[in-house]
Amino acid sequence: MRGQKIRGMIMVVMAMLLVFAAACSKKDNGQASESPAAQTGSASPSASATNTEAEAQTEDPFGKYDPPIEVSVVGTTGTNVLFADGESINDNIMTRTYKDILGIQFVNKWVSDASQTVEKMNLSINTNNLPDISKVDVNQLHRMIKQGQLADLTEVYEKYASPLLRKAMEYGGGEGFEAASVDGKIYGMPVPVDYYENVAIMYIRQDWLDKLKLQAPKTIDELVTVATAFAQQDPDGNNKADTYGMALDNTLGMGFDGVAAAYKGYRAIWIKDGEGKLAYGSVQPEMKAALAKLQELYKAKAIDPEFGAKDWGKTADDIGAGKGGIYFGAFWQPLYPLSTTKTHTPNSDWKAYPIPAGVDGVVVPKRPTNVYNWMVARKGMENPEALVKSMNLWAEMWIEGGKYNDLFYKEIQGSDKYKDKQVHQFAKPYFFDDPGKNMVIGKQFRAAMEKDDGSLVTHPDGKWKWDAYKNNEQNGWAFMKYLSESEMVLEQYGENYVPQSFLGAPTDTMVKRLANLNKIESETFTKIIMGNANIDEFDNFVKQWKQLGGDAITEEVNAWASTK
Amino acid sequence: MRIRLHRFQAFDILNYIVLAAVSLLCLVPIWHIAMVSMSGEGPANQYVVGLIPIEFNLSSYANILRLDKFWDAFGVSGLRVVLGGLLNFLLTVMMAYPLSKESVYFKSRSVYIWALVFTMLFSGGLIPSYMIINELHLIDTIWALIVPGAVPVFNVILMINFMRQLPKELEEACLVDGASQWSIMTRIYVPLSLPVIATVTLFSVVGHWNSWFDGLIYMNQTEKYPLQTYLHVVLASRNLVNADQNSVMASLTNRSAISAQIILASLPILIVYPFLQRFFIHGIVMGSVKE
Amino acid sequence: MKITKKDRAFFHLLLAPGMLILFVFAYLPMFGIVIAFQEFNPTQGFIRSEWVGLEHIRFLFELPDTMQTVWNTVEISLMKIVAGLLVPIVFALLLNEARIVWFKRTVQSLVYLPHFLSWVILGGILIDVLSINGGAFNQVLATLGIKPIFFFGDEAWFRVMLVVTDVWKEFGFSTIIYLAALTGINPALYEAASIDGASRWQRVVYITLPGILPVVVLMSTLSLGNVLNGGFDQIFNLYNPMVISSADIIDTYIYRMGLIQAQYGLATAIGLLKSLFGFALIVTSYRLAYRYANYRIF
Repeated sequence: MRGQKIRGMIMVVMAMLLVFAAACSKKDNGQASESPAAQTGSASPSASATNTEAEAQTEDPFGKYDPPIEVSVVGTTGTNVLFADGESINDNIMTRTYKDILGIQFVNKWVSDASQTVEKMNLSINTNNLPDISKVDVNQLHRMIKQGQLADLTEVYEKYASPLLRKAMEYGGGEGFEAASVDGKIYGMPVPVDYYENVAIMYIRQDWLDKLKLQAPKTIDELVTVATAFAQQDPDGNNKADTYGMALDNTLGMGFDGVAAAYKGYRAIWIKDGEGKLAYGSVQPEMKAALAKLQELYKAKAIDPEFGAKDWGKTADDIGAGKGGIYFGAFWQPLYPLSTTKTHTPNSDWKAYPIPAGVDGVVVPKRPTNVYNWMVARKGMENPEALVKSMNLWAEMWIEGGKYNDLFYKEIQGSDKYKDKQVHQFAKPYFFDDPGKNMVIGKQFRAAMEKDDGSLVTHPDGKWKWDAYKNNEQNGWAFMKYLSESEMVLEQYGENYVPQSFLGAPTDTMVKRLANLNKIESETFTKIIMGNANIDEFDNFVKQWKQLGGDAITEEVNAWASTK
Repeated sequence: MRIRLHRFQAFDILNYIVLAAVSLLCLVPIWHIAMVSMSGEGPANQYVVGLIPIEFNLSSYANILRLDKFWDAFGVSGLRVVLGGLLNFLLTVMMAYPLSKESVYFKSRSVYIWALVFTMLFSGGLIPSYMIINELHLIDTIWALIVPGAVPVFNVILMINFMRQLPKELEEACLVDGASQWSIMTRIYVPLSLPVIATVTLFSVVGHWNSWFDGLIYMNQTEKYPLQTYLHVVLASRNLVNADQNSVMASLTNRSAISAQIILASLPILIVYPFLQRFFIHGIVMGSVKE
Repeated sequence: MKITKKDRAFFHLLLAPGMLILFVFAYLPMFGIVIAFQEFNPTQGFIRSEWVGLEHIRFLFELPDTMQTVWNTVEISLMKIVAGLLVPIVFALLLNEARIVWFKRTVQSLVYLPHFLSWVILGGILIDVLSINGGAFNQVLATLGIKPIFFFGDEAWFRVMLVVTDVWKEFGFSTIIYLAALTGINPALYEAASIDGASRWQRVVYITLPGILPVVVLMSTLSLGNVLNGGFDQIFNLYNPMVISSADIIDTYIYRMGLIQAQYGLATAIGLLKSLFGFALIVTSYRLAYRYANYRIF
């Protein structure tokens, strides 16, 4: 569990690093941001406000409290949290900015270490000793709604949310509101990350390909060839058989997804089956073929032979140390671990490609949701609209086109005092991202690279990354890689995704049994890949999964779907 | 006879070697970490340091000793040891003395003893305990670390057993002289039990220094963590280090810095334990039971 | 001897603060076990939350993890108990044979050094020393031509490590008890045996071992009470998802169930069952200790 948590934390850290840059979401970029949220469910607020002006609303989204009010939140510290001289988690440039503009004084009800956030929040929920505004995961959200601990935010969102905030919240159809809504009432504000945060991209050591005179694999069979060659033909030239083809870790993350997608296998998400019903990806027959292929790859030593004993961090260490040549990961992963390969082996190079296609030549990756956390207000909080107002302010600072862009990007983040201090982490109440921005920055970046004209990067934060790349500063290489190459791959995927189709709150049986089902799943899959179990073990697993609660969950999930 | 003697000598030599090897095994890992902590960052991270430092320097220590968090934690632990040790000491004496009386003289004795022993056998568990501490508003205070364990039941029982072995004549003589129970306790029993009192108090002081879990649960502000909790958190999140290259904190979570923090957190114990061992041996033998 | 009413009042007064603390911090939480029979809702409190009877306990046994952790706990504890009994006895016997006083003292001081350090510290040290990537222990193995061992990734080796390091931490401390028992043996017995021509080995077998047998019996019966513990501090500071299925014990299971999954009813139910069985074990062990070693705890 800790491994998963750590991976989660690393992802958060990295996501924060990369969202240094906020990009504008151009009105005409054709993204789903314009699609009305209302279509996904009655609970979602109307998105019509996206195009209406603020005056159409009855309340001032930026109205200042006078005298200032106090709002309690939770602070998080960790090794990645830095402060400018004289500042602290309780008093820093962000807390002061919110007080100056909105008259809201944020105070930390408690401060937990990043490794303890779940435990602390759970204890606080269970003793009903909540801060005014907390950030919670889907299970906590569900529990708090059930236990009647949360304020209804429907009205304050309708009245106070600014157009920019709505754009971020309702991006992609407002998926994030699903789990937070009961009987048409909203109890949580989504905390979106990049829309494509969890879509797999294939990264390959280009220097290895060149050395072995190979082409980047386009199909699953070519992947087998290249991965096997990486394992057997000493691509690093040290005369030792110490390399493997593709990396995989024991959480069976994107490495698994990257191969399975070629067989239309989509692990651990709910997909639509032929009849339009929701079905669990891991137990579909397609998964068996995917597992058989992974077993074959493992047997050919194309997959890290020790993957079963490596968590995400260890695998990342391996990649940095130049042990593996194929890495399936998220768009931001040039920042980590790929850039560490360059530290160890300066003349190495990674390139981003779409994941391999199946026999039909089509690539359809899976796209899990991009909302994993929600901001909630405790029932009885005096000014629940303060939550929406402060989110408004953050949107105006962070999302391009906001009226406080300059304040944030130039005066705060651009100043010597706060440079490299990652001040966005202290956004109040909690940081959230603009889900569409990286794709936009990516387009600008590629155009600028083609014409070697930095002025084409118009976003202030895109500019900063451009300069970092041009001046060979820290992370400059990674910025260039993910903004030009990874985002390009995501564009190539187009709209071809198999999305997570269950967006509701965890069902009763899930709450009780999911942890156990997941454990059986990962154990069985790992055994099959490593050849410790015959491929037919998959059929037993499916039977077991159904018996131990899977059937009940499927029913509940479809009951949810039928209400949509 | 000669041959036999010879074999004995062989056994003795072998025995000394085995004993020495086993003892070294208890020291070497700690020694190794200490040497890593005093080595340069490069050799430490490349795992080439053995039993002597390479590129000797104390910059890791200097960095940590500049860190407010570390001193905060050190201070909390120090306060906890002093207050907690004192409270444990007082309550141990206060409870053990009356309970060392024969039931004939103090009828409620067995009720008290059972109430005491029952807490060793049965507990409400983590969540209910947290709720009580929360209701009493002890969260984030040093008292959350001290008061719940203020009665060291096991130590009280050790003390009772010891006091019961003391000759009854002393007390009777004093009673004849008209001394009060207070003066019998403070003038006779406490002085005579001093070695055991010292032992059990040291038990609790070491216990307080080494506790970490309660700090993790009951402290909501990281600057209120005791040292062992702080260290636990540093160690638990060290996998994050690589992801965090921009951070100046990274210099505090590399291998030699972690080693330095481990050593600093054990240092007080490493310094005092050789002096404590006599007490401990005494106490264990007397109670003839493990901690 | 006369104890007056006033004296008894004084006794009650002395006991009052401690009893109050015990009542609040040990007895009040015991009422919290009602959560084990409830769908606890913090906004409703202990009384108004929905009662579900034995549902949590029934469900616990439906979860395969529950019995797995019980067996893990029992197996790990039994291994620790056996090794933790044998090693100190052997070590005490060997140490008893050493004649050089300063050497004996030094050895004693060194071997119980680990006892005084917390599992947080020892965990930090062990994770470093036993690491597969350059850890000192695996480097030593490598120079001996032995393949490195992945203690934190291999389920079987992880358990071995748990037992060995637990013994490593505690054997020095237990040794003291046996050494004390050894000094309690009448020297005249040894003299008589020597005169009769008994060899050193024979003296150990016929005098020393029977001499410390009562203490051995006592220690083994008392350790019975630990069978359901397994060592939370140690495992919590050392384990990771790779070895969790072989190293998850009841206490770590409760921790995750309660604090991470927030299934308080289930967590409390396991805790309750553990307490009940633990209670029975401790009472049994004390009875055995009384019967076979004539030892009474109070």
